[in-house]
Amino acid sequence: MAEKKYTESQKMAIEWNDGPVIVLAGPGSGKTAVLTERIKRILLNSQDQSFRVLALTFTNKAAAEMSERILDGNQENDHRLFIGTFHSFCSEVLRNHGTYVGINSNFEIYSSDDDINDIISDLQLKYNEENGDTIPDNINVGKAIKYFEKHLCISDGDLDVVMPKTAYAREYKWFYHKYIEYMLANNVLDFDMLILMTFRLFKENPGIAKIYARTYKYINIDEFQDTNYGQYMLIKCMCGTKNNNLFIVADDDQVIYGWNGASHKRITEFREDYNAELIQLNQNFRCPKEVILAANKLIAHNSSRTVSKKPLESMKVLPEENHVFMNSFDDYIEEMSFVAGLTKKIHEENPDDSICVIARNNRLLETAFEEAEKVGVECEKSKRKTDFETPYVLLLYLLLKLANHRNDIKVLKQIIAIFEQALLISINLEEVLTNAELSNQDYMSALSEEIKGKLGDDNFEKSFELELSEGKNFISFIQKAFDWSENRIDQIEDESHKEQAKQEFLIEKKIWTDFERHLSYNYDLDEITVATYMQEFAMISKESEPAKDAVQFLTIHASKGKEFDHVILIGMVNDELPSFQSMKKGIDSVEMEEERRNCFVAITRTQKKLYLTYSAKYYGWRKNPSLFLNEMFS
Amino acid sequence: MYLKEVYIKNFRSIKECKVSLDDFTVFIGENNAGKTTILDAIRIGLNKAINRHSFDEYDFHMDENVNSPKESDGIKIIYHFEEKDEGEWDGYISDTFMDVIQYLKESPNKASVLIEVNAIFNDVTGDIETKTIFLNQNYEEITGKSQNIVGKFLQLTPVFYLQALRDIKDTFSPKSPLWGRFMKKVSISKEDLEELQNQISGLNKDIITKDENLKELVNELNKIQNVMDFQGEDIVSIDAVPLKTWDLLSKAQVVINNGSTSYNFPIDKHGQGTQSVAAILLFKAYVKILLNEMSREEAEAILTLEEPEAHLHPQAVRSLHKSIDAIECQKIITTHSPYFIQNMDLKNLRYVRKENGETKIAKIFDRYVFSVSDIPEGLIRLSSRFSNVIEVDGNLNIVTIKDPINRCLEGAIRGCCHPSDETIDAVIDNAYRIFNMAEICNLNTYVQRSRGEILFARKWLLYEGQSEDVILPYFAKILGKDFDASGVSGIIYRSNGSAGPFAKLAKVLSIPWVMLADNDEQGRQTIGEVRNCGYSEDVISSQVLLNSTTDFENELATSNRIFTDYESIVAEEITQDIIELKNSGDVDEYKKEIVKLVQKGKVVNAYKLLDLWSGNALSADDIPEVYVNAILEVCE
Repeated sequence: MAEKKYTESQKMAIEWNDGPVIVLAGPGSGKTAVLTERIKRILLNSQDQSFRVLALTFTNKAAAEMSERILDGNQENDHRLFIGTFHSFCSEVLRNHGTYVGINSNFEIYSSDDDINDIISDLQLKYNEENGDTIPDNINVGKAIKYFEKHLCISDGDLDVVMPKTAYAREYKWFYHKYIEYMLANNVLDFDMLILMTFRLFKENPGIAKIYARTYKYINIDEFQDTNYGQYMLIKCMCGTKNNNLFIVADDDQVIYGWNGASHKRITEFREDYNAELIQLNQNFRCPKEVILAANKLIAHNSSRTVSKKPLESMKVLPEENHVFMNSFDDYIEEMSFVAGLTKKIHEENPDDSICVIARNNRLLETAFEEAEKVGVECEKSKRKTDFETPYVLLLYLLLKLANHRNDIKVLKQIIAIFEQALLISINLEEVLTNAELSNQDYMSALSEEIKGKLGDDNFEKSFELELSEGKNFISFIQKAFDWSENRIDQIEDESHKEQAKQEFLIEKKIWTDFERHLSYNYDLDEITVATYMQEFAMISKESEPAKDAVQFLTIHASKGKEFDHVILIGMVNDELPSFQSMKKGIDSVEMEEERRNCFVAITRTQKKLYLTYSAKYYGWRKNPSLFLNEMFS
Repeated sequence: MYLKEVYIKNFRSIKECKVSLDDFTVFIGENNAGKTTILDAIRIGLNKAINRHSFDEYDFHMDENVNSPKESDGIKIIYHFEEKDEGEWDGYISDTFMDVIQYLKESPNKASVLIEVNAIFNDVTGDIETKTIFLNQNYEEITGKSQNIVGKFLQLTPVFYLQALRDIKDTFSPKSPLWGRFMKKVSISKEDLEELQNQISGLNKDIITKDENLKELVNELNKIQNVMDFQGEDIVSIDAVPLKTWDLLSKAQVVINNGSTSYNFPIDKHGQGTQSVAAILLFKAYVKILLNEMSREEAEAILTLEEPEAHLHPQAVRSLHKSIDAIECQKIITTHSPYFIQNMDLKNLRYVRKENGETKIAKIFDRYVFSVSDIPEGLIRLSSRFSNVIEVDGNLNIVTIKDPINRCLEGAIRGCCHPSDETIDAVIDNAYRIFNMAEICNLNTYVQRSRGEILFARKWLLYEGQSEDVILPYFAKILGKDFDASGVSGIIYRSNGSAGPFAKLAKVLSIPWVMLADNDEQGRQTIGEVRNCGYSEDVISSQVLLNSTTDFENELATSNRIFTDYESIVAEEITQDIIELKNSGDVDEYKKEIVKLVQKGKVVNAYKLLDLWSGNALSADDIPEVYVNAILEVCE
């Protein structure tokens, strides 16, 4: 229950029961706490009831964090709570009811662009064949498909509605239909298709939508400003008139995913569609007063905001001293080396404090990272990894992939390559293929025959056969595979090589075990199938948590939702922040407003001190100080 | 919850079959046809799903191709539960089972849940592996749904079972699963219990002190104090009645006063029929109490009863039917009693039969629904012209046939469906089997109310009149056959409506039949009726046997011996004119007149013939060929 430590508006949100409401939550206003408290309260007060609670988040990490806070170490959640991203919610719905839109529950999710590009290349060949002509250079098939998917297109009619002005409408339609056709025929989905197909399922089968709407009596959506058209339509379609207990947490000042279809308009749309009440959490518990002041002044320049939006109110008490610093330089190289030295200095003076270098784009961040490494600062870059990299973990991942798609020759070849090149275990591909054919087996079974006597561990080989290949208990196989891998790494003779291999292995193993733990919040691991396991795994980024005392180098987008004691925002010049493109569009453009929100997000990551740097020259070009500096501090 | 259909594969005598169920379903059929197997598939299968118990080797269906569980491709039982009314499951059921609720094509507005229990023999371990899974609308597994939900689901559907041949002593013994558990559920409040205990000890004291011998005995026994070091008074007593309530209850018995004496007799001293009814009523009470105790009000039991009619007279059987009907839950019952089914809806009847060692199930239906991937244009046109017969739902691609079709409509339907449509034969076949309201009323009048036993027959012999009814069994005897032993029921169709409905019923229930018809206009009409049931000409020519003459009596007259017997039984009625005919050499005309005389009192004369033949038996050669053929065919 809400305790004294909460403010009035926080309490109001926590105790909100039925009906639609939008909680406008500024940065650092404790929205996650409010959300989790409310869900906890609802579940606790309804133990004798059967309805469920749905919480949709924007990232898997946010979902995992929220699960942990709500379940509080108590894993018995009686299946009345589902916390996940839109995508994982959709994949669960499609597993249960996908057959209504032609999707079998063991579908595969293509998470990497490579897989999708392969399909598009094949389609292009097909197009050339059918038309006796090559497709025009200037049409971007991949981008168009994404665009149509995000707009939930199915029929030609749908495509006509959203088709941009183009001479190639016919070509785009051809590719889109062929692409969707191919994916469904192969029981494969990409991320946007998860939303699209679930939307279609609900739209075409109102009976099924009704069950979800009724069972998920309370629906919570975090970071609602980041939802795109498709995601919002999905919710609307599911809820229909059956459920309007929508608890939306959003901040229209933090919309920075415009390229993905996010828009501040969605918040207005929601308020109008549902006649939602408004609760404002504008008290900031994170940033120094000066930063709040600057943020308020900055964002006031945006016109597209919720009308009655209150300015942030600073609640943080810090010692009286300077909390915002600005430094200018002649050239960006100078700026970067200053930043490197600054991080080193801050770290030495405050070894327990977190430090983050933030830039609008990656190029600048890269330079800053290199400079910092040069002066011996421990650094981490954020980058999305869709695959594992260390041989043992990657091998295990691929083995599960093969267990799931037992005749996937591409995966089989990758597995054999790792066995041979990284593990020095020789497996003959030809033999596996021949044996599979001769004994009428699939590749998984043939491989499990082939590895016998080669892995140097009878028990593990037995587990390989029974638990993995025959599918008796793949969860237990995973554990054994980790033990086997660790054992083999321990036997590496070269000490330093061994140390490094082990460290890398343990990092990726932790990503894996974290994933499995988070999975157990929504699913029963005793009963989960390989197919479900791999579907969920495909949606997870495989990068590791940054080391605790490393300085982080993040783009603004990657920094969203995080907080640091010290934030160093670099490249504060026009054409960097605001970006070159938005400058071109003009000072009053929509793009410029999104840049302003980017700046707003960046500075409000600050817990203690904010450093802003800029130079007169970048890559040989003269640049003026960012117009946002003026807006913030004039 | 309402169990709509069960699909059973490789379970005992069932190789593969689908059983649809109603609120009150009654299975009939010969002994050993597989009725109990169906009940067991429902009862044991669902229990295994809960308990994760395994099936055993003998549960696997075996035939000439499958000699052991190893060779079987596995037992599979699929339970299809469905909402009775749209929205019935809203709330707890739909919340809890949301992930597995499906909407099936045949009933897109009602929520369904499909549970499959399957068992396969694992070659490596030698174990039988039993698994319970939920299925989606395409009957594929919904992956990763926890056993937890299976348990919760089945708690809503407890299955109760009462088997046949009830021995009353067992049923009402403290060890009986019904009575014993019933008694254990007796709970008396603490105050009441104390009061009762006091009364009982008072009663005990009274009994002991009222009898001089007992009093003396107690006094003597009390002297034990002199020998042993016991403290207190009244150390020794005698329990004339059990002093503890649980002890009393364990001796509780049901007594019934039948009104003819002033004594209450324990139930096992009553007739078998009374015992049987008592057992069923106990069962009913037990189910009610148990259901009340279930944690969820949504729970709805399935009752399975075997042969509840045992030992009861016809009126009692009918009354039992009513009393079972009144139990508020889904009932699945097997019976051998025509009386039990007399008052039920014929559509709720399931006819169980064994064909080549496999159990088959048939039912009477008043509409036939099928789905197609694409509805042909022609069918839509047809449905607007014959809207009373065909209904087409273009959105769901569902076709409903509501009235039996005839030859002409068959042609039209075949004409407008694509020739490559393989299922059309099955559709046509089923469309012929539909019983409309009028036909069902006829069945009710001519079969259910008066001749229920024919539903238990292995084969039917259909003939026109009562004379055949009297004579044909005798012919059979002469041919060394016996209708009863062969499970043959004879049916007079002329006085029971007409031949058509019987031919159709025989088709729907797959009861083999032979029909005798006259070689005249009426006979041809009869053949027409059979043809309109969708029988092929081959079947008609081999199963409808025509007299060589116009009727039974004339046909018998073709036998010289029988004609002689005719002359003797109507001897007194032969007039001079008739004798003149004979004398004048007009033998044909003479014969006609004699047959006419016989036909004046067909039935009486039939019995007279039997009387004659009992003294002087016919030989097989004396029986007209058509009857020999019919009897040999039907008694095969």
